[in-house]
Amino acid sequence: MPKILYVEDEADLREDLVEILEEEGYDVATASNGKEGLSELLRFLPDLILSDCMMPVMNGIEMLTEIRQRHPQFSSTPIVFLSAHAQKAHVEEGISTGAQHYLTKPVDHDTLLALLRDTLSAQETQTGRTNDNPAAECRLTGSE
Amino acid sequence: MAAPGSGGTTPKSAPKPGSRRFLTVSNKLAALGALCISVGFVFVIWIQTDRARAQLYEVALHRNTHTTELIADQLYGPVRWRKPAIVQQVYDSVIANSDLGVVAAITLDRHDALLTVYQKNASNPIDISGFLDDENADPANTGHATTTLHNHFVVIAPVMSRDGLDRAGTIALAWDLSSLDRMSHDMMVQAITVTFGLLAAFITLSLLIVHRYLSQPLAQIAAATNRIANGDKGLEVPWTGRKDEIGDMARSLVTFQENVALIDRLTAEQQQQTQRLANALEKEREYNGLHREFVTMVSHEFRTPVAIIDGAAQRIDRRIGKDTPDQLMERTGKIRNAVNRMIELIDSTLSVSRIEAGTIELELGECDFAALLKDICQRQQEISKHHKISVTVADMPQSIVIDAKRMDQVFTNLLSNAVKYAPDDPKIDVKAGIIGENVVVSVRDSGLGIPKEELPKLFEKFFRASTSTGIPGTGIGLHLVKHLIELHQGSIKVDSIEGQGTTFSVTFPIRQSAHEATTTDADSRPAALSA
Repeated sequence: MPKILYVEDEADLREDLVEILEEEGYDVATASNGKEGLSELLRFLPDLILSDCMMPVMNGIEMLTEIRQRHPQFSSTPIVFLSAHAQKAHVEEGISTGAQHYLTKPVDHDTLLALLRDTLSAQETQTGRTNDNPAAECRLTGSE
Repeated sequence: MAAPGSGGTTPKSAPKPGSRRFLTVSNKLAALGALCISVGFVFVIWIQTDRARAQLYEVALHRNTHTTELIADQLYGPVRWRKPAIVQQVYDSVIANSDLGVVAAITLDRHDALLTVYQKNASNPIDISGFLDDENADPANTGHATTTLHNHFVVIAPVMSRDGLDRAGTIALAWDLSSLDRMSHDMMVQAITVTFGLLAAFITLSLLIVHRYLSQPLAQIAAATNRIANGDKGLEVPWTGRKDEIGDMARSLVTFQENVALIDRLTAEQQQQTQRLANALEKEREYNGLHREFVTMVSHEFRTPVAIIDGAAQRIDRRIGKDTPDQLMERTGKIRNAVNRMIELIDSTLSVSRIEAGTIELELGECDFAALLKDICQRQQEISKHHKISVTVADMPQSIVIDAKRMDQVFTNLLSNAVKYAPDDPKIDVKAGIIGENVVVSVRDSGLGIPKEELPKLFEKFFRASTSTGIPGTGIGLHLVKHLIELHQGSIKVDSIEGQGTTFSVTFPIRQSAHEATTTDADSRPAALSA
């Protein structure tokens, strides 16, 4: 059962998405900012990270940078951003930091679930074959 | 003055005057003049002396010829009868005892045989017999002849009888020429001495005059020019009163000085203008940056509640017939909260436009302020369950006159800020009381704080402190709060220590009756309009 870490500071949004993900059968852990996200990451060892960008204490971009620099064991763990920042510059920043996908809020739940499924299965085949650079497969999903 | 100079425009400092003070133009001119005059004088003196010497010679020749003829007259007898002793006697009495200057004499008889020889200075005899070889001294003549011999002047004369028919012999008298030469030499030396003495006096005087009236003023004007060039603005230029070229030069320098001052002033004004433009541009750029950030944040702030509403709606849709009434209520509650957030955002965004247009007007009415404040705190507490908001209200009158809706906006803003910028520090203190005639409310958090240097900008539109990174916000809340408090004739101030927390203190005057409120409201309106 794939494990997803969901980092989001808006409790109302978080609750909804956790419900959906659990209904789909994912094992879900949550955090309300990047800093909590990092400690959850080390404890929970997720297969995929779904994260908001703009959060207090530590934002999603900072968290991702930290993961890519300090925690090489998660270098192939895919990250999907789900942010209310919809400008092109934000999307590009997210992707260039090393995220697989950048979705903008509000998001269609079915689209999100399909994307998570795809990303996880692609990840599985890739880790099954080689431990290649996951960024090579990145797709620009969200934009304005 | 040299400081603002850049890009090769630094003014050169003028050369130091006086380093070649001796070689001034006027001194060089004077020296050249003196040299020319000296050469001229030497030439003139030389010519004059030469002419004087010739005149001396002529006078001497005339006198000596006469003397020789007189003596020859007296010697006819003794020479005729060949009595050398008598001749010698005549010489001794006439020549030696008189002041005729004769240094030697000889007498010849009619056959040109030597009769007598007279030497005035026997120890240094002068041989003048050689004159016989001279063509000028032809003894056959009846007339006299002159010649110079061994630097001596010799006059030869025939010794004749009174009737002039018989020539008894010849005499020759010699004068020392060196005395004449000495005399003319002395004259020349004297002339030169006097001339050069006068010349020296004249040159000295000329130099003094040139120095006093030309060199010195020129040097002073040059020095003044240097000082002006080096930036001395208050300098008084000398010699402006003179009515000649020096005066013209001095007056030109004054004009130049005035122009320099004018240019300085214009340059300074231009620099100020440039600085003002640069400042305005910088401010504009800053404002544009803030505005861009504001648009980004407003978009984010709208999208977040929309996402909540959309999320809840999708859930309801998917779970039709499965959700319990409680679950449904929870979802609608989320939707309503999100809608409220959007309304607040719309309100504050619109309020800012109204501040700019100056069209915010208070709707004053009696209000239980203590209850209002507690209500606001409670609402915030329900939203932010991690925080602990404590409210203390002391001595508040039952009812004061305010615009309750605007006051609600003010304290909702301050409280939501306190919660938002203290994500890890749950303690929020709200205290309200009366000081004098004023209501004072403080809202304190123990959160991120604001850097000291950013405090003065905190109430500017769109400004967000650097410590707010990652925290959603539009930068208009505090701007609006300040304006609304000022509409209530109040003020807001902020104390903050970065990393330790922030306290906002709101102060506004108490108005207790609606009647008073109406009058005060009338007073406040122009302020509102002009704001």
